[in-house]
Amino acid sequence: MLDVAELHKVYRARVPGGAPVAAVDGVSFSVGVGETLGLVGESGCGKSTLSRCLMRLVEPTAGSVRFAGTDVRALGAGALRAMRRRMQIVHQDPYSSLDPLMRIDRTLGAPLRHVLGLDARAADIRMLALLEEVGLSAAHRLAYPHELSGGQRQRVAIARALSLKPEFIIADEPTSALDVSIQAQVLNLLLRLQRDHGLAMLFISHDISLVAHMSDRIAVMQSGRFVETGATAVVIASPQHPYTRSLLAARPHRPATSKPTP
Amino acid sequence: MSAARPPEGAQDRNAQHGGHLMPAARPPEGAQDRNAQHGGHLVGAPVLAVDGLAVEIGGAPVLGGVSLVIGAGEALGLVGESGCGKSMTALAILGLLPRGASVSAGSVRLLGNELLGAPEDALCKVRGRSVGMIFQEPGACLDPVMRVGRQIGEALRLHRGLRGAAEQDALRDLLVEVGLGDTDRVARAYPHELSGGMQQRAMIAMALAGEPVLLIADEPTTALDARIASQILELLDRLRRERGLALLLISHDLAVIGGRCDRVQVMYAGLAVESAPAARVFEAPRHPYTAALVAASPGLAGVAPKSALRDIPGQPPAPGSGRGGCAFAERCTLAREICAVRVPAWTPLAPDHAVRCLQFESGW
Repeated sequence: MLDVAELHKVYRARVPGGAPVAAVDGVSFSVGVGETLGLVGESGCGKSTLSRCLMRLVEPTAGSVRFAGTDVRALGAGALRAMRRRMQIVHQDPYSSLDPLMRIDRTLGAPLRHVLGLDARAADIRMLALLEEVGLSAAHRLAYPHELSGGQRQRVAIARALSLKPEFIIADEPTSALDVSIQAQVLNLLLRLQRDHGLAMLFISHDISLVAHMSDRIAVMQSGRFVETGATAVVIASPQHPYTRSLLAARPHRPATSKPTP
Repeated sequence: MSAARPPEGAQDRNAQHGGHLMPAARPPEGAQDRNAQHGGHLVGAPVLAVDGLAVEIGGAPVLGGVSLVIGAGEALGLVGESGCGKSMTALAILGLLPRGASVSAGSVRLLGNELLGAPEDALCKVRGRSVGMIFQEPGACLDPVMRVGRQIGEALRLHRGLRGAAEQDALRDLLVEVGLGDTDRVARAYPHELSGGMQQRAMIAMALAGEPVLLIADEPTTALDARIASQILELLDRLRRERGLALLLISHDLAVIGGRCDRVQVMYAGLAVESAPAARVFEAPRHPYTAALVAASPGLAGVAPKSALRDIPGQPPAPGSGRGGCAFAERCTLAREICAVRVPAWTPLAPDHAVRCLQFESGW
């Protein structure tokens, strides 16, 4: 589905005479249909820049991105727009990714009417189906984002990503703004949608426990490079790179077994 | 408001409901005006003893009677989701409640001395001196236009009266103690020149400047990457052991702090729902909410990758939305009809384990 080879993104130095910054420094990977690649790394490692390069929201400096056989970097503006429909992002913070002045029906209706070209009635029917699919009710159409909880907002963001029937979803820290009980709801939703629609997914997080739970394969990113990739179970059970080991060592641990109650 | 309250020696809780900011001070038992500093404390008293602490905003209860006890060298984890009242508990302990919120009942004793109703100048000596505090965003707590060394030095001057070379020596010792070994560079740096982890270490150094007996850490690692978070928790753990600090560790994520605490108290909708030794919370949680939190966490649940987690349906009630019955009932898989009408009491299951759930009461 997605093939990336030797992708680079170099930013100019922010101060004159400074060294340029290689945010993404020669990264290659592929994601198959229905597969999830988990991308784990810490703040500033380049994981979000990488995800933006895939859709050319950030223009890569070098390397190739092929989506469903098409060279994404060679596309003109119109073809690029068409390609982006098939590839959608769910962002970290649903507070800032939804327009606060738009009711949910407009947020969800706009892509259905203007991109898919549905008439008002068909768009409405599709919208209700989408809301139901992400676990919201018809009444939520009339709400503004601030009237929804964080979890509900993230469901709206997911519904919007789904509305264009994408084949590939980039989930960039989709639950880091949510409480634990709500996080589980959203993770379960993403897993179910992936199964139902055969979506390919790039799941990005700084939390290796989360990535391990969601992914078939894991890529560990540090300073713009992949330092380790492999099947989830293998990477977790026998990490080869010291950085991967340090991420695993920092996972929360349970306390030592309790003494018996007197 | 809930009639139930945690039991620990809570007979004489004064329950003055009223619109004033704080209830009148309860006369400390058999004690004159003892200000809450180290030295003059009651022998054997726990460092912090909170009893039946209730807070309301505009008459709506947001904290329904919280009790907790922390001894020297002990770490208590306070866990719950947004809006469950855990930060409100910390603020109420320190007399820092936001405008409009007021303590309606309860007692907060530091080394045996009542803090509720204490005069503001006494509280000022407690905050930052007897009690150190660190918060989620170290970047927001540090003054961006003051060098880090000066900020910590200010705390040393204010709380310990140190000046000149003595201040500089104490500053260097503190920075080394919190793992900022490059003391000269760090002391000269402005906050933005430090990483998030280093900023949090500087905050911890500042919190230690008054040589506190209690450290309150409210979501100290939430803004940090996992590896850095783990280092910060390790540092707090070491300080607790080496200094014999009482540590109140507050987090929304049971997985993150569970392994660093002696005991964990889980809160839901302004009430404690379970309190137990940390290990037992993970191994044998008794409250359905605690069990659900463990099962919902990818790092703790122990389920196969890509399989569904046991999520908790619905969402927590808004703070202060009073209702009859158990606040968790509508999300609880075990709930029966009685749960919607009867308020569960705080029920001891063992000397060190108590829970607030009707299934452990008679008549279930």
